[in-house]
Amino acid sequence: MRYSTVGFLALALIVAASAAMPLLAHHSFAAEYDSKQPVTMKGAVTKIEWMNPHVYFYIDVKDDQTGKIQNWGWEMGAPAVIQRTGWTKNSMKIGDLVIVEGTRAKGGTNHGNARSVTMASTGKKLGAGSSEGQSPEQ
Amino acid sequence: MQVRPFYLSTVLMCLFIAATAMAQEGHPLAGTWHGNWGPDAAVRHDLTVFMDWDGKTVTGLVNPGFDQAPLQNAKLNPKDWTVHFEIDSKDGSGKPVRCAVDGKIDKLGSDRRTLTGTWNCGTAKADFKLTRDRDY
Repeated sequence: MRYSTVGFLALALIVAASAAMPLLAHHSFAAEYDSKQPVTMKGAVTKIEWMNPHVYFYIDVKDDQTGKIQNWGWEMGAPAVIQRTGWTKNSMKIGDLVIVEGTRAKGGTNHGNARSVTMASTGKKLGAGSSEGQSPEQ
Repeated sequence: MQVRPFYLSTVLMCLFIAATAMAQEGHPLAGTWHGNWGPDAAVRHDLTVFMDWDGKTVTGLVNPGFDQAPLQNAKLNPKDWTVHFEIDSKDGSGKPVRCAVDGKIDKLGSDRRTLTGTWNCGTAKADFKLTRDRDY
């Protein structure tokens, strides 16, 4: 095999590996989240990433005693999945106060898998397409 | 020169993926920024700023959700990446005060670019430092 062909095949392999990265992001619940750490928190939406394979949103959570703010990232289901539970791209906006029920990530990072999101201003509660219970514990 | 379809399709595939990756990064100003502001190193206040750029105007919020304040008179100079905006806030005694914020975006090529500058409310002088949240 000529070197130029080998080079192109190697390049194609790298490209294929890069394309596969989003698939790796579609992980099992048990691999990343600790079902023994359910959490509920209220915060203000600071960022929304409406994308496959998971929608992510981020909230600032204020410690009422110290005034310190921590930013938490929350994973929801795929856009198509949560749209079936009533979500639209306009359901949540930057600055909205929301109450999130979910499961904290392993390792103690400020990251979790959301089960539901309640809009503080209206009380409307939407399912978040959590994958909890869909894969065996590891 | 004759180009083999296999080579051509490989090159086109690489260009497509690279273009997709670049498109995800967005405008250097746009996004959510976290950091703090204060008069000195010892007294700092947590700060979140969301900004967007529609090609003509800068819009956004300071501290979304918590005493949030919309950006006013916001301007971006893309020649030197300086940013100016103003907000209505309150001073330590609770009196309304106008804050003028002037900063400069650095590390433009980084997904953790920074915005630093002055945060002056009335006669009180302070500085701020923000880092843009990474896109995942």
